[in-house]
Amino acid sequence: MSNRRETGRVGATAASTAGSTLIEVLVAAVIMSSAVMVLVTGMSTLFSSSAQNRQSTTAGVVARDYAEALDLAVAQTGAWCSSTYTVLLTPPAGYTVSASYGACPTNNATTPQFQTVTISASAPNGSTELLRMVVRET
Amino acid sequence: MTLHHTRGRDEAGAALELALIFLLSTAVIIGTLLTFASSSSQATVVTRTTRGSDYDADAAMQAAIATIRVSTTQGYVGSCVSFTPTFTLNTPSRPVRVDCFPFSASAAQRHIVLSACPSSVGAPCPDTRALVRADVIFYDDQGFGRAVSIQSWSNQ
Repeated sequence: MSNRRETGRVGATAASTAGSTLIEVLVAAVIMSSAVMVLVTGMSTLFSSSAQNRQSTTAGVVARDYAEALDLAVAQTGAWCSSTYTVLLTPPAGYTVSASYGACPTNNATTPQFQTVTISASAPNGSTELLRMVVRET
Repeated sequence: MTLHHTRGRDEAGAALELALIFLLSTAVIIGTLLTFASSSSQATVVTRTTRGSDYDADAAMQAAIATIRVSTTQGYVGSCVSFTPTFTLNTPSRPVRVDCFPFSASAAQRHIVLSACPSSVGAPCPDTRALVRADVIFYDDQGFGRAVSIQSWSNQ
């Protein structure tokens, strides 16, 4: 009688342990799946953000390069306030750069001869970097 | 019997514990990744702002040089007012001002030192706060403001 009671208790304990292990595994699988999904999503966001920031930074560099090239172009003989400046710069593939010029000052001996320029550089992802600068008569 | 119980209690929750540890590790990794992403974005913004301020100082300096060049009253010892740009800046939240320090002057030339400074810094701009400092000579022979020579151009 005692043996049968013991056997019964042992059987019940074994069955209980087996069942809870299965549930635990299922719960664990769900938790791990969720974690993996969050991990993959986070890494995807990181890579995307990193790529965007890299392109923005590169667009900024392109704008600065254009500004340097524009300084050289303005310094050419007879170039000051001409209809267009010949800016020698080829931006990297996928990037575009352009400049809009403020009005040229009246050309006389008393008007300060400087001109505002806004440089716009666009990255392949569409982000744009603006750079405002001033050029003057050399 | 005792052995069976012990084994059962040891096994129970092992998978769950591992999953929770994995979840915790994942949270730490995600936190680190987001920190990287945040740092990257912040660095981009800071770079843009700093670049804008640098070019604002340069632009103010160029405009100041062009303004003093044609002025018959500025650039002489005792007569050189600060220049504040009126055009749009890259970083309007950080306005700049150019202070003028006449060095010497004659009928043929004016020699000055210009310092571009944040407007928040009181005049005269101390060298330690100058964003750009330029040593400039204006040549007034054969025509007032005939030429400009930049002797030095120092960025902070």
